[in-house]
Amino acid sequence: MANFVKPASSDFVELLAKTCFSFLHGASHPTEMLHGAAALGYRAIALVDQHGVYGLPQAHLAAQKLQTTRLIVGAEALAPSGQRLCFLAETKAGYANLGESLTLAHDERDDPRLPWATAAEKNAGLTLILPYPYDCPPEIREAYAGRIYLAAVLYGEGSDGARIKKAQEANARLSIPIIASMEPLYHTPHRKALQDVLTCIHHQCELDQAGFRLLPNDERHLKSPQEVARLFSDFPDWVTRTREISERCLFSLSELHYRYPDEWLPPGETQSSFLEKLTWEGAKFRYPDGIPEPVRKQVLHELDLIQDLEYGDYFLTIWDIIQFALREKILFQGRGSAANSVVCYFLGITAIDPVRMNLLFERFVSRERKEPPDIDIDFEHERREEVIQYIYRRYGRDRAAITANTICFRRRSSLREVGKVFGIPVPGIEKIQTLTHRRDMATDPLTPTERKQLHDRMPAELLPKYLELADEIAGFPRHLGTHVGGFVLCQDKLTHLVPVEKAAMKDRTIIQWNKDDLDALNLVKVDILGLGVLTCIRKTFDQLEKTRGITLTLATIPPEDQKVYAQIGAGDTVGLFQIESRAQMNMLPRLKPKVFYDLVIEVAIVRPGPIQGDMVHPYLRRRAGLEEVTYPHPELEAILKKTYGVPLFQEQIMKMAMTVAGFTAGEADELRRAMGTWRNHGGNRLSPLGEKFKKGLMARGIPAEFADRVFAQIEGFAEYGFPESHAASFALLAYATAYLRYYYPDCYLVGILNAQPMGFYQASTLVYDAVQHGVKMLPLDAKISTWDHFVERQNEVRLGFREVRGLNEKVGRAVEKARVKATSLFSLFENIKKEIAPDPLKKRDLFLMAGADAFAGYGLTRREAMWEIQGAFIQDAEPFSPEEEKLLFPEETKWESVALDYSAKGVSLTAHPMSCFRDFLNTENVLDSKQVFETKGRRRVETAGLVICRQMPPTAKGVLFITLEDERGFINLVIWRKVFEKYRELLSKEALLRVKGRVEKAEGTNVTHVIVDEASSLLFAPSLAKLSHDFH
Amino acid sequence: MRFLYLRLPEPRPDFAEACLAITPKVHCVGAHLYLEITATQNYFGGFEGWLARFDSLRALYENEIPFEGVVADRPEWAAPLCAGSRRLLILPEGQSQEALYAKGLTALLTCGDPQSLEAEHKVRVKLIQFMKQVGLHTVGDFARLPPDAVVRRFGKGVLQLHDSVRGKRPLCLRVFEPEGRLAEVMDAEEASCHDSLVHLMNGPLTKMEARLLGRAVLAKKITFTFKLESGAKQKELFLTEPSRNSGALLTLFSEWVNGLKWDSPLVKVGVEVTDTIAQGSRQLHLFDDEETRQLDLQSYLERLRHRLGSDRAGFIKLKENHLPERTWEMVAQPVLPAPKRDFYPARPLYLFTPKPFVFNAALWRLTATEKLTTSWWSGEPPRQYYLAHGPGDQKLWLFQTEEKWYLHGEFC
Repeated sequence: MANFVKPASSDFVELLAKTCFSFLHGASHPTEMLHGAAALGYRAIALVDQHGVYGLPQAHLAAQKLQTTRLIVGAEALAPSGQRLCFLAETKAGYANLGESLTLAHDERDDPRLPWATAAEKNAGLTLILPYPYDCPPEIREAYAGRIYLAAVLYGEGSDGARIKKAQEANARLSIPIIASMEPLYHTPHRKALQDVLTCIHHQCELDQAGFRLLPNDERHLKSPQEVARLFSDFPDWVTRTREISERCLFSLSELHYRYPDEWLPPGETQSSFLEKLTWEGAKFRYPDGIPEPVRKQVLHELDLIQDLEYGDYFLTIWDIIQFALREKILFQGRGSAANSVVCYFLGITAIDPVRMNLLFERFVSRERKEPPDIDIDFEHERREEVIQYIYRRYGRDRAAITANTICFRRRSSLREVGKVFGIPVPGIEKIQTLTHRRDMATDPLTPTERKQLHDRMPAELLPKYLELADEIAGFPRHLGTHVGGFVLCQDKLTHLVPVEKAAMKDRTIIQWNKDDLDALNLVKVDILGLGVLTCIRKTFDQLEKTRGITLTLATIPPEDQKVYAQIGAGDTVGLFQIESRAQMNMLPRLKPKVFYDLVIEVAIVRPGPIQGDMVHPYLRRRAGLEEVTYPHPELEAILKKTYGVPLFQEQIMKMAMTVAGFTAGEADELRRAMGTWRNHGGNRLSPLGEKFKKGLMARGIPAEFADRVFAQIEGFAEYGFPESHAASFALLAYATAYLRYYYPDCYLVGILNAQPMGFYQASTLVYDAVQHGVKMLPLDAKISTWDHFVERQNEVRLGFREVRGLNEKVGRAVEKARVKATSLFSLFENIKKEIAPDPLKKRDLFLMAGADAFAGYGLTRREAMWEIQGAFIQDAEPFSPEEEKLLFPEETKWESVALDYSAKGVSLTAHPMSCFRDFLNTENVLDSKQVFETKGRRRVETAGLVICRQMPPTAKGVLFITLEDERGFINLVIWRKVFEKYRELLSKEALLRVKGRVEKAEGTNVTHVIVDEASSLLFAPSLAKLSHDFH
Repeated sequence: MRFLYLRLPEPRPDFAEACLAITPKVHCVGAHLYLEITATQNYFGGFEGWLARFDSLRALYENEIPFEGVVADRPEWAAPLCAGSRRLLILPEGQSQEALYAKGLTALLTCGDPQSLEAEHKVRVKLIQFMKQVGLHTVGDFARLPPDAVVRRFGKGVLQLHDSVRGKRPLCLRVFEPEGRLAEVMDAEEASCHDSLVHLMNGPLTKMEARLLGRAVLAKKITFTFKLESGAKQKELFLTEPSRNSGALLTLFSEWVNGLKWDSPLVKVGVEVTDTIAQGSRQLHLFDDEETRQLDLQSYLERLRHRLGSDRAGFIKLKENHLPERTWEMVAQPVLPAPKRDFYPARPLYLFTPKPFVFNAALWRLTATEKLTTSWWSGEPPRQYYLAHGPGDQKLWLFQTEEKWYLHGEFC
């Protein structure tokens, strides 16, 4: 070629790269793409993921760290014709336009399309690149004049010549210049197989069936600029043009400035003055007798720090949200690290006094960390939606949206999905899931026997590749979900910060970044969470006011009531928040809480952290005075004094890191964050910090054995450990529930039943427990019952329609009005029909009510009621005649009645299911729960009961714990792994179990277990199987 | 009235045809067979005589038709009363209803008209579920419900069942009319000589006699097919005197078969009455030309596939596959063309079966065309295709993989 000019080796810039955030299409993480580009000598690279900027934060951070390769921000949208539109942001205004365009494109959730008119209108600051088929209306050419290009791509498919020709024809037709690109989907050719697998997952087909949906070769990898220049050596200007574009697209994510809303600010106030004012007002309320000096000092310190770090708006926004909750009488409580802040306490966000509790403020906000604080607020779970909709109303949908939750492939799901793509039968996939569960295949590969087991189910040669790809795909994003309640609020348009799209749930909008991305970009979110126990407490308060005229709030519940602590200490805690599990019940008689802080310990101690760190028994021994309280280092005494020298909380670990191991506050916080996310990062992230921590302790003369135990505990924290502040918030609620249950068991039962589903136990267990505490249960009656349960008279609770399984709430609620003028059952049905119109009244709903024996008030048995209902729904039948002769149906037996009750409403007031077998069991010398409890240790017994809970915690190493219930109480079963293997099917599924085993008593307490060695089924009863709370 | 009900494992119109010899009222609904006893029992000397006649007929089919049956007062009650396990339950006259009422509710699933069972199955399942919920467990419980109450609860549809159960709705079944070929086949591998063959032939010819009797026709022409290991031979027997007498036919067969010889062992013998004294002609179709042609083509292709092998004749179906040799397959049915693609790689029209060969690349001018790294899951190595320009304008299409060259085609 006469005018051939060899381009400089670094002239080419890839402008159309995609990452795994083009969901199920790109096959490299943004960081991999950036590192790949840097390694190949790119000066810049543009990422244009499909329909959004989901991977932008990760790419931005990678580019910031690299310094050598600049990130060009872009995204790809689809025009209505299917033409791909690749936008690159030149300026901040361009990025805002991109955000708005993508948001508008997502108006159609399932198939986002960007209207041509919008693309033309939002053109400022954007460059547009059109790949084949080069469909471009005149208004787009006009709007993007000088900033629009056609992309010519070489795919190595044997049709590249034709593609180039098409580009040239389009160039001649449209007068739009051409640029070169390779449209990479992955950073290395090795990822081709993974890209094929992702394509198959996307199209839900097997590899053999994918056909032309798979790419023919691995040429879609990131190539070096020199190689691209060589490939396009006939068209050097196409290559140099990419450099020119890259020099124009200079927008960086660092330019974004985030500001919190400030409409709550009264005239004449600044955010700091207003925050200060509110804080001191709150201080007066919390300390009516004067603020103690240490508290005042702490407040000043916190306000100073908040002012310096400019977080005042954030605190005030939260304050604004809780004002709404207060106005609407929605119960709430701040949880997590916010409870470390005295400002939060004074603003009413949290209920724990951090100074009195000696909590660590740096756990919440740290000057070194330069990260926004994280305030999580729990609201009543049934009313959380009101708060969410308030936020949307208050700030507008263009300024408020929920954080995304990127759903990634995990080990199990990747094995399943990749297995399907390979056409491996489901039993084969399940087998390998079992064999590789919680196993590092690199260090612990499959044994020959295991391989043989697998080969029976899949071709041998496929196995290694399958496992390799399943490993590789783990961590790849699959689709975008919605965060549980993290809101991002903005003073300006949120779409200028990040595109917003519709969530799967109606009336929800989400941003395209998830929680970690926000943290990385220093953006602040508010967590609006739902907590069942707050609903339960609110409903208990309501009942209390209605039935006894007593008005209580969380703040006015009398503290430190010894009778309440005595009941807790006896392990009598069914239905109490956080302390009702079997493990908690077993721990309580050993710990015997007597003050609030004991409850904080109780909440925190039965967690994997302290258990794994082997801290539980030393703590109990020292507390009981059986072991001397010592400190490995004198400086640790101040930190560990309140827990008898045994570290139990995250804060204590952080304080130890700072005081003894030589960590800065920032490093200590990094350690804390590593604890929280250790599990998500394959367990690697903690090691360097952990090593430093251990070395730091040992350098101060602390024994290696103690350091090892603390480190094991840190690892345990990664599996759900509690910070002290969080434990304190929860302990407060635990105490409140215990107080309410002790003094007002009828109201509490109504509260907890009306807040279901929540907690650990099914309604039947809660009801039996309440009956044992003197509450009388009144049956469901269509003439009296309402949708909710209620206290009819003191200590008498009437069952509500919400207990009827599967009943339409609208129908259940309509009964109350419908019965007022109803003279007969038939007129009741007619009135219900009118109440729920235009919805039709379904026979099914009335059957469900009849099945729950709700029409006894009308003089009809369960069977008679069903018979009558059946007649009310025949279209061509004559009108229902009350005079019709009454048929006599056989009377229900006791067992029939119990089984029908359980199947209809999950609870029977007739009798406990086990009482139906008691006579028979007595003849067989099968003991009930009370007899087991009274049996001396090491005796062999046979017992039976209804399974209400199965648990196999990871810390128990394969031991199964089952709790049985009978008419007299609970029986705790312990099943060792060998016994479990023997009776796996039976123990995993049966509702009524009969077991033989040895009684064991925990030392110094009455806690009784049966160590099972034989098991059998008492009776096949599927209607009871739903009652068990299994493996949670 | 009394009925004999048989539940057969599969529909057997040949057996039903034979049963016409003992009662003209044979009703056949799928695998359900109803024989009215009352109509002919006097002719056979009462119920016992009728039953003896039926037994002798059944003996002909003893090993072929495992059955379960019942003698009941009404056909609509018969199926739920059926005893099961290859047994004939004979209920005394007038006691069927009592027996039915004692049955569990699931008996309602088979009660009544067998032709409507499938359509009513869901309704009946729901009915049974409901009855159990209200504590009713037997057919009798259901029957004792007042009819008005049944209508009000379940509608008029269920009233029919209620009436059936109570014997208030007699079941009217269509009388069975035989149709199709009159053919029987016999395993002849056990026949060691002509005499034993004649002995074995007695069974099929007796069955044939019963069937001819059931149809009330006489055989005019009989075709015997002898399936030998080496092939099949057919012999036709024209009867100058039409007959259905199995004894006479067996004598004819015996005389005639004595003169036959075959060169390989006999496997099966088939006997078919191909002409009788009452024969109807088949209806012709006037407008099936196009359809027939299509069927002819498929039938022709089918024969070719059987003759040449399924990989050598068929319709072409295009497949989505990047590997050139896997882009089509031979199928038996004509298929629609594959959807079009934006770009097609340049490939020769005719392909060779790729085999490795020694290629001196230095003598040819090579242009890389396409790269294929696909089907890796089936062990396919990556291929790099080249267009090789050789001396004399020769253009080969070849690929290199794992250091080996393969010739895959040649451009014209």
